Amino acid sequence: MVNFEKFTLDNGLRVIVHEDFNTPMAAVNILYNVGARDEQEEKTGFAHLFEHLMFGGSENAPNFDEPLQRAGGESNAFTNNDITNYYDLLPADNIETAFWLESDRMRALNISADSLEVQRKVVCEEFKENYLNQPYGDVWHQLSSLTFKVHPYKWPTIGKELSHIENATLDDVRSFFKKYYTPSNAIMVVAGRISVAEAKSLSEKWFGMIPGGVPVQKNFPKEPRQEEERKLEIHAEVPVNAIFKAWHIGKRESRNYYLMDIASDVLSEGKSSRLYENLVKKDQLFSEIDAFVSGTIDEGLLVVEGKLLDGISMEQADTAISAEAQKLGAEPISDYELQKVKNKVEATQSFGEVNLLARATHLAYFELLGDANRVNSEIEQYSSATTHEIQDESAKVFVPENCSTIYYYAKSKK
Amino acid sequence: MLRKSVDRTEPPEIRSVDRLTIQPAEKMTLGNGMPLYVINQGSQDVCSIGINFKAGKWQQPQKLVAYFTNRLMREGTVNYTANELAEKIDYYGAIVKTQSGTDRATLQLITLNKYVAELLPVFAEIVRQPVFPESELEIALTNGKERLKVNKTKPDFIASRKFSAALFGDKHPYGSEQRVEDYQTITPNVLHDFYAAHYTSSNGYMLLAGKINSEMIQLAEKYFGDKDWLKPLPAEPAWNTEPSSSFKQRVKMENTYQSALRIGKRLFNKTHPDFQKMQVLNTVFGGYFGSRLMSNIREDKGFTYGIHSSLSSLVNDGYFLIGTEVGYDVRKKALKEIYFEINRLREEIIPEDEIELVRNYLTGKILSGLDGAFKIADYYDGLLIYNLDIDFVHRLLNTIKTVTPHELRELAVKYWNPDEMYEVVTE
Repeated sequence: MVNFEKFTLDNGLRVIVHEDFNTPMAAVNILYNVGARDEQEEKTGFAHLFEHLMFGGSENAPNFDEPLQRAGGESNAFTNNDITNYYDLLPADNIETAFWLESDRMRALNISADSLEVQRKVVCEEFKENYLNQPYGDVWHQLSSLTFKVHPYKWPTIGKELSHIENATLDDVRSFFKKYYTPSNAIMVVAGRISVAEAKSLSEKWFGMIPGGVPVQKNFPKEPRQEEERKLEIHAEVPVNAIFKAWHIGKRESRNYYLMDIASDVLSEGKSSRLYENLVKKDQLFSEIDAFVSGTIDEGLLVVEGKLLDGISMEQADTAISAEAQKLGAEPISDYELQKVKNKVEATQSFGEVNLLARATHLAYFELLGDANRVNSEIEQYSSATTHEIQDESAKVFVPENCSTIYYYAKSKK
Repeated sequence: MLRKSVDRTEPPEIRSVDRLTIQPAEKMTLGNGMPLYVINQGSQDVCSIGINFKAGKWQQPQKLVAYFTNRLMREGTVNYTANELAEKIDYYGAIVKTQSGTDRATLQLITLNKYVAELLPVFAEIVRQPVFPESELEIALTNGKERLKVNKTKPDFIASRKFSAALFGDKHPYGSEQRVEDYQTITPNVLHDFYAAHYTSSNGYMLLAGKINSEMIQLAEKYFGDKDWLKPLPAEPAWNTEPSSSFKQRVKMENTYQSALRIGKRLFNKTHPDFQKMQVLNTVFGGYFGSRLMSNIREDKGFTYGIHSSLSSLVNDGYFLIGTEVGYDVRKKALKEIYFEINRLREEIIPEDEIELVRNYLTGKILSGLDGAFKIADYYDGLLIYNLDIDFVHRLLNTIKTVTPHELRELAVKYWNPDEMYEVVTE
């Protein structure tokens, strides 16, 4: 159980305070309601590039990291399709330093040509390191554009191509900041060894005077229903053949999402899962296999990816995965399997709550979804699931016309 | 309400962390003499039950034995098949981790407290009665070979293993590279022999962390405290290092968007009197986001997404390592800047302001690194194999506070001579 209190400043900044006097640390976590889905198609990768620029200093703190490290703290951030999230973790005595730094960059980020120039290069190197210089590194690019034709999930967070990042301009940076980096578009969580009263007064003191901005209305084009099976073959210099299959599933708020999350666990959570036991151990088709849901706010994907063993054909691998997926729709999973997933969800939640930053980040995210208290109540979505419900939804999801498949061939093989 | 506006030009006062109260682990002894450490802390009803043996690469008679012994323990025991074990663990949402490193092997059960009584007997089977089934071994070997194939196409993987081989030699456990042929030498018998000699109550310790109660301690005694697995200690092997005579190595790769760089040299482990001071020096150089390497090579030049340096401590050795992936076209420039930063620390005194920042940063890092029972348990694991205790942290905090910039320059001169550095570059 994660306790918290919630209030909103006059400028629209939502603040959640989670007291924990068992830790000597305190954290400030700020979620901005902007991600790669807010980008324009010809300027992708921008939300993530902007995350880098947020560390370029602000009016009164020309260097962001320096004072934070001097206070014994650390900071980092991540961007995904939906959000950009920043956090600072410090010895609790020095938490005010984080309020100072975060509020100053929210109101007056330094936007300079130099900083843009350097971070463009850094992000290009990140692009190369994770997406070009790795075997199968481009597969998320390929899968996104294969599965989404209209919705901005068709490009990955890092960006569609290097040139988009290289072409980002100072004007882009300024207007992005003005539009999205405002109190009314942010959620702040203060967590750890700090009282609600102190957090409240520090929030007022440092953030209260920042103009609220205009809450951004989200209006993304809805991805039309996929009508027929999609296939793509790639031949590249990779060591072994691999297969990727993706099915469209419901948005984060929908019942379908939770049921498909359970389905993905039945398929591949742990060594007793169906794909591992049947396709890795028994039939020995794959050296590794995994299934997961993308977890996006708008309608997302359930993905299965596997690396084929020598001598196994793509068609064999494809048929085996499809059969396991369709089986979920053809017959109910056993009560035992369902209980196993429910136990896993409960345990994972408890293990995760050991970590202060994880609690802070989750509170912010669930508040964005509508209610921070879902950090505690989310588990009911899983505990109430029935085997028939999972079967019914699986029967709708795991059909060929809802599926996209990539055959990723190692060049020397076939 | 009229709000007083805040003076943002004045940063909040920074308070240094003076007191750090670490609750030391309680040491007990099981009936067979095996040490049991207990870190009882936390509000969540979860716990970690770890067991740690001197059964790493250092102890293995041939390549891959330590890894596959540890890896196969959960793949079948006297009373359960691999699938049955997986079912039992997964059903309760628990995690069993097996890990094998240079000097030791660990098995760890992480579970909700309410399932300890159900799971501890299963965990004890894994630790004490593995049977190494041939069919399971075959699958593990095949999949291991496939993973090796994938890794061999990654520049960072290749550069790291060439670097270790250069420092210690290919026959040495700290430097050995695995090859596909090595997988053919692994049989159930080889694993069983290694297991029987090294996974004994006299060759390891247990560590319980989380919200621990007396019932768990009784269960630990019940399942691990008997003398049936008390055996004489295995002989410690001795190994000769055979460092490469070629200090600068270039490795050709297919894919060259980026070059992976590994630079460094052998040093010593955390029991050496200079180790803690070197940790401070290394932090300044490449050990945190604001380090000199990051400031210069990422934040000023934009050559890389990240560059870090570290001091690796091994039970019988240690090394200093700088690692990064940089744009292919700028690899030579990046190398030049790395040596420039090394030399700067050998020639110039670190400014007071910078050293002050690093002192505070490191202290905060230790504070958060010891926040919670699980993190304290990890920290203990890193001390116990060196026969160190938590006093190490108190000494470290003191060193961080008192080491002088002059001492740090002397250490840079003494230990970071560029002529003695190995350098591996993929291109």
